[in-house]
Amino acid sequence: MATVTKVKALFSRDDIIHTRGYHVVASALRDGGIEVILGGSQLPREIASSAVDEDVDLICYRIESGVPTILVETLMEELRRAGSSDIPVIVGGIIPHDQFDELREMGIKGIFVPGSPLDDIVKCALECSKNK
Amino acid sequence: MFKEEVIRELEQASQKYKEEVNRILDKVPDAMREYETVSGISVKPVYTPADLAGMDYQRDIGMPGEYPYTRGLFPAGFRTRMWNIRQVTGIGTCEETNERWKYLLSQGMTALAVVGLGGYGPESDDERTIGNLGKNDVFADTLYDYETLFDGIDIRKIPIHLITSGPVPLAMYIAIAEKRGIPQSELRGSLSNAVCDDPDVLDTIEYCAKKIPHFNATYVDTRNVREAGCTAPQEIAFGMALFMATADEMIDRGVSIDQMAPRTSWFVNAGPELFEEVAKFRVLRRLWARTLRERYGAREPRSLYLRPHVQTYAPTLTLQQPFNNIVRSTLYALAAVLGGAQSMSVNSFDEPLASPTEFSATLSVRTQQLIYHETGIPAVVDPLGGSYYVEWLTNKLEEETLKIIETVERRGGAFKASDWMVEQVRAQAYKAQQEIDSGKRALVGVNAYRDERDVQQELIRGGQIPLHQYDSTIRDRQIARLNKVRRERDNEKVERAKEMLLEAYNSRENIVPAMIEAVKTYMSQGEIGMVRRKSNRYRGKTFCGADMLPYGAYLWGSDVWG
Repeated sequence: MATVTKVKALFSRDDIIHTRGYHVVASALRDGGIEVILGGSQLPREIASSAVDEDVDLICYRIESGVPTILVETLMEELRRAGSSDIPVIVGGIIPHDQFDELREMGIKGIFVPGSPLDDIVKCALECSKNK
Repeated sequence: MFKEEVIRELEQASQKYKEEVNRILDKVPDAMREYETVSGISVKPVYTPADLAGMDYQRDIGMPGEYPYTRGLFPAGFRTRMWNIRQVTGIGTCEETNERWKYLLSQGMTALAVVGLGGYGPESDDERTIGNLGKNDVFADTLYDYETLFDGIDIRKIPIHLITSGPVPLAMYIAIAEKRGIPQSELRGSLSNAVCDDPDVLDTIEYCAKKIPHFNATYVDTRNVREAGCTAPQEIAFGMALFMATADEMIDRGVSIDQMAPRTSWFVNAGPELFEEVAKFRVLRRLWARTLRERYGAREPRSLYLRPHVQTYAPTLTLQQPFNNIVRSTLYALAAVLGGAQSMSVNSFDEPLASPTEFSATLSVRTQQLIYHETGIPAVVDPLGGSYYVEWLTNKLEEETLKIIETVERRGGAFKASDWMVEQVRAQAYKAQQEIDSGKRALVGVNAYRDERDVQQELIRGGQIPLHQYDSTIRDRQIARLNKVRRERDNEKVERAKEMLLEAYNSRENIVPAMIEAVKTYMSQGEIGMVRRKSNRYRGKTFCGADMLPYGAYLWGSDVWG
């Protein structure tokens, strides 16, 4: 059998409180064949640095407590500073609809809100990490 | 409860009935042939006295206000007093939350709960607060913020609950009371000091049990365990197991069960599967009373009372067709009232989108008022008691619960079995989502009766129903509040208090007395956190995955166990 390189994703979140969705999505990503590194609750700066250290193909960012545009803007800046703007980022959680366009302009590859089927998230994660 | 010949006759009749029902079900292609509750309990199309064979009314059910309290703690139920309407509130700085509290009180809310406040920081000017300070809960740095929060609130009259954990908020609350001339012996209130093996949580319970007899410091937060994904029997079992592990620890510290048990409050969920939820409240009361009397030898009658505060289930609230959430939460609240809740917070319809507004929070208050005044339910205590189905389900749920408690005990009790418990909870959450994705279980508006246009969301997107908007000046205003305190307080006093706090931490004495002195100097929570980090008490990033302890129960969300 040919060796298949697993997609490696860093999965971080913005707060320490409710994490049901975070762990459900992490399970789905794993079952979808992705190697998931749980970053836990991290600041954008910490996410960027973990992503570089772990040499991941993808960043998944769960946002619930914070303002998505503020957090994502900082994350993208930190990635640029680290010379790792090529790492695709997808976000999920409580993301207000009126921030979608701004988030896409910042380079976010996928936005998932409550009600998103797990398969859609896994499919998006696999597709955008392929294009890295 | 029933004569043997009645049961025998019924068994024959039931057999005949079963054949008849199966014949009918076979003819209808999409009929519900099998049904499992959300907790995986298979239920039949009908229940009869035959399902209650061996049950004894006096022993297993009893009158309301009588052991084992299956039917409720009080003889007259809601006829003497409505449950407390206690909506979770927390927004912006303490000024905004105080204002929201006063508004909701004017609308008929009868108890206060505040979410946020933190524990060990960070301070408001830390980078960790960027983009979130005051968005989903209230932020506090020092006693000054607590003073603002409680401004104009009579803490002798209105029941207060702080949704945070540990000795810092307790000390702040004691300091507020002291300023108002309320001695600790008369102080009332409660804290989400969720039982776990953290020494700060245990110190808080011990201190209150010994010094503040009317303050509820032992908090069994099983609502958030359910929220994280578990089943109804797991919700009861994990709560009981966590309480028992804590009680054993307290007994070792010289606190008697009768000092601790009456000041224990339970935080319980009310969600889908109405009858199972009603049965859950009945099991909780019965199992608690029996456990406390038989296992712990409690003598104080109040030790046998399980008093549930309820918050309705949130994971099924949908972003799609958000107004459906009003109906959903009403059904969940109904289950809690039928089950005999003591106080309740009903989630607002807009919570999958943002924090509740005055408008949506008021609707949650109205939901409760409407159930109380317009349904007739409060007139009869435990109105579903005696339903063959509900009594059977109560027994079944209790049986399942006892099996889980036994497993936890075999694994060394709740503190040692916590990683196993977390695994169980997460596996259930994953399974539930897969059932929604596959269409096995309907979620209206998401996998059934979808509306691609979503006229309900259009109302919100069009601004007709405004959502809570985050105000990014909140952080600057909070930092200004902190800086004012830094300028005006006696900083030498603060430094001395820091040394004393560090000493108290290192000496392993109960931390609460030193904490009270610390907060009275207007030392910030962030500074307290720094002192704790330097002490022997600090165990590194604990179960919250961060250097703070806002809600003990969120060990369910921790990454410590992977």
